[in-house]
Amino acid sequence: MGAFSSFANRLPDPAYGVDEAGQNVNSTANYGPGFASVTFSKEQPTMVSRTNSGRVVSRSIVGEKLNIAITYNPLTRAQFEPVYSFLSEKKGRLKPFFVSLPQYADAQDSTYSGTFTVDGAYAAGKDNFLADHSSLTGTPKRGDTFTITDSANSNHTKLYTVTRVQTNSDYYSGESQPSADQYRIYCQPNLVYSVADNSTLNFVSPLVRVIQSSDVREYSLGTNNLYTFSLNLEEAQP
Amino acid sequence: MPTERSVNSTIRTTLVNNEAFEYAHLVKFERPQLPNANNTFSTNANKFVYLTDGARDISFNDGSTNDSGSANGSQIYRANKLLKVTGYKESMQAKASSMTLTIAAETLGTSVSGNLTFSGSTITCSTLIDFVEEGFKEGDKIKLEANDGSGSNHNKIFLITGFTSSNQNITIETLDDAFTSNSTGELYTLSLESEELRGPLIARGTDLANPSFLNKNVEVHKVFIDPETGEIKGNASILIFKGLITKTNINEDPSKSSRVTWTLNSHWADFSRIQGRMTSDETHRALTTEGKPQRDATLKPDYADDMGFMHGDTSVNVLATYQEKYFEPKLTTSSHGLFGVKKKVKMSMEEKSRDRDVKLAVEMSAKYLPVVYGVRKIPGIPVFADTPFGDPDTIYVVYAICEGEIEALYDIYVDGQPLICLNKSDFDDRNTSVSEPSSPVLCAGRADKGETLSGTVAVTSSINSYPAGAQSQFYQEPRHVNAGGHYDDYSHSMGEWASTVTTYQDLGNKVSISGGNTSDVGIRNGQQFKIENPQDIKLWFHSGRFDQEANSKLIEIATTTKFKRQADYFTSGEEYWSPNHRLLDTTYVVAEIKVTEEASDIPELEFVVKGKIYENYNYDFKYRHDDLSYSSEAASNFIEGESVTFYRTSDDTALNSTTVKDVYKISNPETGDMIDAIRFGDKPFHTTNFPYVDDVPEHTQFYAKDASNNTWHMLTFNHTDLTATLPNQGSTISSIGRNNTSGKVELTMADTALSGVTEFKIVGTGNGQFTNIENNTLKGTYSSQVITLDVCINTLSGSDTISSGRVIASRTLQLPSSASTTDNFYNNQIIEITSGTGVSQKRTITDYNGSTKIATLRSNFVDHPIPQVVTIFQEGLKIYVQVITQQCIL
Repeated sequence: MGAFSSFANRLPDPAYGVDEAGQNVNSTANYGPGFASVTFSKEQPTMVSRTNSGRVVSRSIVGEKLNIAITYNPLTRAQFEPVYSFLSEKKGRLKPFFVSLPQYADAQDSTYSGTFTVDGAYAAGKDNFLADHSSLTGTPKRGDTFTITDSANSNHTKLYTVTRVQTNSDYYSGESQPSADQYRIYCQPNLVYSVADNSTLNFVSPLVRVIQSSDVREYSLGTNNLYTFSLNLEEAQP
Repeated sequence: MPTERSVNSTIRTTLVNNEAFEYAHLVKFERPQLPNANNTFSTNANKFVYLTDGARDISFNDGSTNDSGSANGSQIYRANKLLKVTGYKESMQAKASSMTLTIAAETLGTSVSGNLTFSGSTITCSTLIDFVEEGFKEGDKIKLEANDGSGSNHNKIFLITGFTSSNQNITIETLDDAFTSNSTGELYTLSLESEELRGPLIARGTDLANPSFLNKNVEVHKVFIDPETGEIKGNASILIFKGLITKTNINEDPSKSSRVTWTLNSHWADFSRIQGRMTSDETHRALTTEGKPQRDATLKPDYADDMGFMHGDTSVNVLATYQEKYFEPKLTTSSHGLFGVKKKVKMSMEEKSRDRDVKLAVEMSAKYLPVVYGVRKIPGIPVFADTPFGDPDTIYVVYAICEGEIEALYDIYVDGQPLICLNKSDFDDRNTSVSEPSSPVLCAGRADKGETLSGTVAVTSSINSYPAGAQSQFYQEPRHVNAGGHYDDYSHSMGEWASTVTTYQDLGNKVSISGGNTSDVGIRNGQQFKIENPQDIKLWFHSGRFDQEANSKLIEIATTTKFKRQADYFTSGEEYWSPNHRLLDTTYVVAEIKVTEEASDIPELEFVVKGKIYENYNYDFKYRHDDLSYSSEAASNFIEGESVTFYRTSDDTALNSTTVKDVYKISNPETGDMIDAIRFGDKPFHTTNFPYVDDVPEHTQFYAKDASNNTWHMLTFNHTDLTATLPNQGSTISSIGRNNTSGKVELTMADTALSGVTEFKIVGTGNGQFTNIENNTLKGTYSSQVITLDVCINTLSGSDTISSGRVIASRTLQLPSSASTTDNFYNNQIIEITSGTGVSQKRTITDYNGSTKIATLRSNFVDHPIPQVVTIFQEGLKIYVQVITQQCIL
């Protein structure tokens, strides 16, 4: 234990524990309860007009937003209170925190491990970039999600979804050919910030920065003395 | 013929093909800033805020250039503040449109303290602070204040460009302040300085050092983004809105949100929002509750000194007297017969006269002065009415008509009847020769033939000087000892006071409608006009120039016989109508109305005016002839359709050739004189010998020559007769003393140049008891190189000095040696300060001495700055839009 320099800011889950003092301690006693279900929705607002001729005109101006609804199985008080107190400390919608979604806890390729970094600098708005997989075991796949750790920008917390993975032998000719050590990763949404060379791609347990959707947190306590609780979150970029 | 808007071809293709795209608005708005020395505002990139409502930060180059003409390059439009851009309207009509921007303002007032070090472009905080959680964002302006008040970056402002190390470090970009590296931790407070958020809370700019967002420029571009690459299509935008900030407000709802809303108006709003000024002294001079004018709060600084509306919202009840004639029976007894015993009584009627009183009420209330373009009939707004003391059958009324400067007064309606006959039928009914006119208001001329009233110049070259009274607050009296035993500071009476005006003659009956005087140019500035029917009315017309002088007729009465209300209620020191009653920028007439038995009321007057003067900046290739230097040239030597070649006047370098399109005369709206004009088919141009920058020619003098070698020398709209840095002004002060008897200041001068001068201006910087003395006009006397000022001081001490002390006669400027050696050369030209204190102020030169190179101005510059750089130019260089002088049928 001892002194620590920062409070845990991730919702407790079966892979992440928060102790009584508020620091991250991964131990059985401190792990949070698992989620019974996760409803995940991705919102990409688009303006659409359909004319009488059938012509559709669609335009987009707003960025992507994730909405997450988490439900818990009935909880004992010992399971419930660490979660509820964590959320209370966030003062409703005031303070953002991170959550790890179980479906994205691991990459689809079970052998995925090692370091995967962005190869080159990329401007905000690009929907693809080259990544160096020379220190990586395994392959990213469509549908995997990732975040980017950029030493030049600690605000880059967006969760991206892989839409295409191109290799040295299977690539789109409209872009440069990836080298043998590179993958070209297509992602959605497009990069929301410019990315520095060698920024790290996090495919394992990528964290989503969220706030609660409502200032009201409600639970019910049944005759079985178990707590029924659910949680609605929405993505919050800094 | 309609033209198609220029749209980048890539954007055009995208739209035509209905390709998918994302779009974003890019908003660029100007931060509050001080003007440059030449009175322009910086276009450097760091003077603007860049925001977007797009999904991410967008880098875009709008093609703008900085102050030195270099490209500003791409700027990052930040996506973290702008919530909403409202719709906008476009129409074929030139009318004002508006738009509002909504910005999230929850972080307003953010401030945090921490121990900081500075390196490269990074601020590192050793205290555990997440700056993003605290409310700072990329694109925010932050102010650093060292807690001990002496840090290396104390009181400096920077722009946040990013965050690193879990938002504990801030990467910055410098704006105006230099960033100083310092590895020793210092305790600082960082506060949010972004004007786009703080705008509504910034105090109204009370001076140039405290500018506000209002009237700053805003541009809104729309960019089209490739959804695959995120790149801006065509690297171009469509400019959808360009205007000015007119309003800002903040709305906070603790349970919802905090929003700053900016209201923008297109540049057309400058025209539509003009509502004129109130004819109220309180508004015009921005009087405080103590009745003191506030120069910083007036529409123009000069208005603080202008007392013309002092009586504008008072009601006057005048008991006017006129002579009534009546017949009285008279019995005449005569004796006749022997010894006169018979008496004969004869009764006859004798005509006598007696005084009759009539109570005339003039309700004066402040109203907005209209702004008139073209020909309009408008009622006058009475702003002064009174009778001279001891002359109750004469009433003087001042009618403010409209915002100046206007061209002319075409006609006057008296009790609903025009003085210019409307048409032949009207002429036959009411002309001055008709024995039994249908109306007591007679008319002359024919409006349907374009005829107008004609005035006669009433101003003379004589200048009369009048004492300035105390009421203006600008008269520099000997200073008074205040409660602390010290003399008041000079600043209590800082300001300009006028003491001289050009005399207006009373031309008596020379100009009269009864004489049938008409013209096609109307009554012009400084002219007089007289009506005889239905009663005697004399009118003096002031066209509303920016520096017009007060009406000498009223001043003369106020300083001699006095007005009735003045005699009853004003003390001798108070100004009732003085040289400070100038009604600047206001078109007005002074009416002298005689009350008679037949016309015992003040008639209702309406004025038909030709409104504001249009200038065309040579856009139709018509140029002002250089009359000063080439008066013998005749436009009639040129024929429409003939070819001419342009030459540069300075060295006769041949330029381009063109044809003569039109040769005609236009009326000078300021004087009414007809001037020759030639319109050409093109402008003078040569890539190197006569180039243009932003449509402004770099050379200003050129001439046209035809095949017969006839020449016509012209000046472009930006021509100046002198652009120069001014030399030292006035005479040097050798020593400063105090008269021990009177306590007055005595300045011993190094020369005798100021002999005979009675109004002085100090050049230099006053210290100690003389602080601010340079901002005043001071009265005094000159004798044997010693000026005794009407300024009292305590016993002098060593700190009572005037740095670089010199003295010059008030309202004069010493021009440089390069100025003309010809007397009166610059008379009636405009002198403008183009650099330094007082920049952009203009005055008219009323006299110029070619030997001493001293120019006399109509009035001092506001706050008496000594100009550094000035230009002198002739009025009317922009030449006038050709106007049809025929009066509209009203």
